[in-house]
Amino acid sequence: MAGASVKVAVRVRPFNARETSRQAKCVIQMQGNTTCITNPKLAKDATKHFTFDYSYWSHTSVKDPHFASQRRVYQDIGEEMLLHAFEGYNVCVLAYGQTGAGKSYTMMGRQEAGQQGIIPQLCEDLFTRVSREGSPDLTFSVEVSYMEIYCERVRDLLNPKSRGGLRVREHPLMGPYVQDLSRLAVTSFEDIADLMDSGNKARTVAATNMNETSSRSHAVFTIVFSQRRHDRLTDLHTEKVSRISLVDLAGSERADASGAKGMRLKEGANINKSLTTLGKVISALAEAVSLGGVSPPTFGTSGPDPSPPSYADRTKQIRCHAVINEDPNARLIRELRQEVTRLRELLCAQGLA
Amino acid sequence: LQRCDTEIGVGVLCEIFLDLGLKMVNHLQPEEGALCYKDGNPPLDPSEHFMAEEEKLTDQERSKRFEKAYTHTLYYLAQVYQHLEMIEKAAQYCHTTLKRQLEYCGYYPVEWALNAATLSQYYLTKECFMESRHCLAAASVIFSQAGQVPSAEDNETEQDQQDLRQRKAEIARCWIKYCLNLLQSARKLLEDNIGELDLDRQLELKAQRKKEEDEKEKGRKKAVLFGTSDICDSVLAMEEKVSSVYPLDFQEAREIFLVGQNYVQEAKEFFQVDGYVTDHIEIVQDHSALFKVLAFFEEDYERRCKMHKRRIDMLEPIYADLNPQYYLLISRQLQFELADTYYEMMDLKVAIGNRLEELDSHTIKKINSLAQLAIKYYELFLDSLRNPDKVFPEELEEDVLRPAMVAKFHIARLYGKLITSDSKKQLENMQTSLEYYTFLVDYCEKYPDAVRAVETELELSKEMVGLLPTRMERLRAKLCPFI
Repeated sequence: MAGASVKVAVRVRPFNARETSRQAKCVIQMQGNTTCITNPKLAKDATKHFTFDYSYWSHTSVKDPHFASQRRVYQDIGEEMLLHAFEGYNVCVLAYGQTGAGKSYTMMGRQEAGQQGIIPQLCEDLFTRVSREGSPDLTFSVEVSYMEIYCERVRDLLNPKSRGGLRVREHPLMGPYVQDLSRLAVTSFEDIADLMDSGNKARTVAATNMNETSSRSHAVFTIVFSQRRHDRLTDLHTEKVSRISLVDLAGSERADASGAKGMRLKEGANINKSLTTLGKVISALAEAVSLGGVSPPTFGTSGPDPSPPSYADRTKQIRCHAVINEDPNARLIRELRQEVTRLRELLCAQGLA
Repeated sequence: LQRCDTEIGVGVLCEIFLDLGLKMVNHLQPEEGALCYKDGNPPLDPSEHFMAEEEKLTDQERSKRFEKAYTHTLYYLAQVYQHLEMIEKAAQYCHTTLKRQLEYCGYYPVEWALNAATLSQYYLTKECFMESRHCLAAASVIFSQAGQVPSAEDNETEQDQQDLRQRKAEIARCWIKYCLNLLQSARKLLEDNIGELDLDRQLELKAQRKKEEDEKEKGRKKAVLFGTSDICDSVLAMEEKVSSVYPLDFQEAREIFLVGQNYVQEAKEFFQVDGYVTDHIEIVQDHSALFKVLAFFEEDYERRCKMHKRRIDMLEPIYADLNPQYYLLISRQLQFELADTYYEMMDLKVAIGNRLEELDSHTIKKINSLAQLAIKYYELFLDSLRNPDKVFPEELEEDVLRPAMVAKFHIARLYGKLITSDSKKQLENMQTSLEYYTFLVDYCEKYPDAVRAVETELELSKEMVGLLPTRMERLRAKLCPFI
């Protein structure tokens, strides 16, 4: 397998009702894996070209031979992922874009024929392969977790009744993990489909406004895939465990836009009326001047918190994680300079001898 | 925006000012918004204009509401200044807002304490240690009020207790930063151009401090102090436990160090490795930094060495148990710090040895062993840069460029410092040293952009690359004179 690499795919969706009613013009064109964007307001330098690993033209419909279907996207991206997972590697796919861009459609899709997204298709193929390749000497087990990150809290979508958020803990050898996150064993695609379904429902009931939730929360569907092989010759048992992470990220319009000054003023000039946000303001003071390093990227919420904000994280922001700190080596430099001088004199003297 | 003197008018005007100010800010005109807020001392609550006579508020209630409105005004001003990027003014207003919360508004002890602790960290960035200490002392005092409130619901208790303990540990960490920053700032004032304590400067600063002691008292009275009278005494008591002036000698430094060390223990009680790897390690790194800066003040080389040994003892086990797959950056930081610390210890042993008539075999062994350990950790750091196929990158990424080059440079130097009576071994060491110096020279030739990251090191590497081969030639000639 080639060195760990990141592949990037871009997909363009059809117009929605609002865009159609406004007679919107499509400024995107795709050719092969190149995406072209044309700015209708500019006369010169109007079109910019970007090359990705995949450019999916899904603006039209199945009738268009150029159209990239859900199946096609899965075949390019999902199949390779599954292959790597069987090899024992961890794989991850992230869907990124603004609210309404179609991330959930690409990742989950809909129940109707031909509309299933990457996740259901991947699960289906997984079990097909498992039932085909399973033998007394090669056994598989599949477990799934489904969690939602919303307002800096982690919710278990497979056990949504649990009150409060789940804690994210760190283990020195096992790494970070979500404590008490349900990991349910599944033996068929139907099992997974049911869990995904109930998990998805748990997502939308989190707030009264459905759009609100999905636009601000991240959903992570994880498949823990274990393969146990028994070698008859040596009587050794080996196990390979891989994690398949399927992430539907929150609407990217929430991300910090470091753009024109005018834009930033507009966004940031909202004055918080409640003193409950005093902590946030104070935190931001020290961010401007770091204590000798780079501040960790903040993953904050924008907008009123429905629950008490996490203060611990706020004071954490102030303590910066420096990059590699080196001791100033002025003394070393001086000594080495002396050594150079000494060496020169020595060689000079030896040369004369 | 004319002044209005009547009782009724002022109250309404205040609300209008507040409103206008808010609107102006939201319409991209922050400067005018700031001006708008500066007036604000209204007696009548505007809602009262719509109340019947009997419903009107008591003077006490009225005054309470206006104080609250004024506090909010100050808070909005803080935000306006923040948007204008006038950070100092913003901090000032945050500070005053906090003060007023204590006095007038009612507050949640934990929330208030954390805000004060956070503000203290801001003051650290400005090296305002008196203000920082005051904020922290108040934070600790107010936080202890929280522990006294009995928890209402039983099923919340465990989580709440857990949260309380975490917040307490967070405040302890802020105190650690305070002590560390104070010591490090003092070091910057006292060190000479090779990082040693400058005795002349020490005398100078001590004399200067004597003069300033009177000025300090005046400064104290001007500062914005927290607390109603009952809190004041407790805050003062907390402040007296640690200095806010720069330590100028070992004794003074040690006192601050000990305060910091106590808070390290407190913070580690909650932030244990299992569960809080990143936090735990950062606390240990701070502990190591405390020892490092204390060592600066210690004159005796042996004692200094022992302090660095303490650093090794706390960092090495943690590094050994860390999975770099999940904690790559921390792993690299630890590798580098361990390497630098071993180097420092080796240097100290050499200095101690140089004072003796002759280096005895025990000291030589010690020096070599420390040098090898430094080399080991620099190599581990360099290994961490390799790709999954163990190949060292052709071109180094910006964030690791300098550390990688410095590691190579230090390894080169370390091979040059290994002591051996075996000439063959000496030649080998010189050859290795040469290879590492050559790496720097070659890399900078291939990637000229890298030069500015390692200018001094490159200059010296070039010298060594020029001199070492000749030196090695002569040595070889001495060994095999007939060839």
